[in-house]
Amino acid sequence: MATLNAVFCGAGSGNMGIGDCNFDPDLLVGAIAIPRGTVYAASQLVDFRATLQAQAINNSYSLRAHIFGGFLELDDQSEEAQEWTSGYGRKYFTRDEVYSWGFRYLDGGMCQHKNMLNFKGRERQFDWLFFDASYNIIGTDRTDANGITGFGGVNLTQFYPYNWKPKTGSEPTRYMVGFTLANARQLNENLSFISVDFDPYSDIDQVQDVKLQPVSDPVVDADGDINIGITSSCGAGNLVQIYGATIANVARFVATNSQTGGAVTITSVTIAGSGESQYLAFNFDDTDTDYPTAGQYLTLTMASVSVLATAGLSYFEAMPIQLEVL
Amino acid sequence: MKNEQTIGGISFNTEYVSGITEDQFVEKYLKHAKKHNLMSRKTDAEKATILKEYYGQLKPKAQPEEKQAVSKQTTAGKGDK
Repeated sequence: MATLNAVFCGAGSGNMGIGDCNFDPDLLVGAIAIPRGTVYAASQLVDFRATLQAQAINNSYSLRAHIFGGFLELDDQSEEAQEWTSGYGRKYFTRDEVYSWGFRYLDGGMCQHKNMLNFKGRERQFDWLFFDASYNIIGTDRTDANGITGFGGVNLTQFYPYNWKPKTGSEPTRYMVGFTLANARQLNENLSFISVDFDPYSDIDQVQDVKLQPVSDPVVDADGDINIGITSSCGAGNLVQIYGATIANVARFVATNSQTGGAVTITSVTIAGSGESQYLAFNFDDTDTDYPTAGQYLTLTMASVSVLATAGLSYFEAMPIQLEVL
Repeated sequence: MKNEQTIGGISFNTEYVSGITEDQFVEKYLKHAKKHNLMSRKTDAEKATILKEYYGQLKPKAQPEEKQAVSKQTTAGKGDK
């Protein structure tokens, strides 16, 4: 509570006694991007693994958490606290240290690097938690809309995946990601943490991007047919070959008129081709009132993360593609 | 999904199938089979016979009452998107 013309000096609090069991952060090995403004209530911390898992596969992208892990070493690029020396020799700190951490990683190689690049420049969409090698998840005190204090993430001024550097005879490929924190106070005076019994990076399943791509002709022909290859976005694993009939199902896909958004009926889906060249032959109902007119586009994507997961496809999200209709 | 059935390696939207005649179905999927080299060792007449069997299996899947209850959106899982 603010009082007019009164400076808050924090008087009446602050003792130096400590207990026998103390928290000392271990090596930082990962970070979690959570939707901006997230405040975990105490009830959500009881089984934080379940809370985080549900967030990581949320159907809604804006509510989804993303876990970055496998950090191998810290390149501490933090700015030191600024000190001023008076003419008479006394020293005073004029500002706090600014945290700027670079973490090197190898897991996932170029796929992970490209995934990270998707988050560049989106600092204001997320708050961030860090986790250490002893499964402590570190964040900050956050107050929810009702004024109740919970656990939340810190703010970044910059999330920066560095350009990769080629491997040498003595070092592997260099992948590095940088975090510059907006406010060191969030990880000092207001630091909060929870100790968990799982590794957020390896024990929480995350959503993979799926790429839909026309196999040859990129247009829907006059019979309403088009052939689509389905691959994991990075690495190009052929999901038709891997999942077969589980993915070759009209219920796994969604088609809409790109202009109106009206649903277009997918009449059938067939596995075609062979081996690594397998793809899906789609047929759309060209008598559907929402079917685009010639020269217009329809949008094809896959069903939601949860619908796919229920069908045994865990966990995928397709990037929609637009297909011209003849 | 209520209105999906896979027969002979083809995942059909049964709600769609219930709205077309057997002849339309056979014509459509005869063309589809040729395009994608399905049932390649069969003659057209044999393929048509097989497709009529498919139609017979698919048609009862979507009864009129059920058709009214299932919207076009949910046909392709759109309600969850």
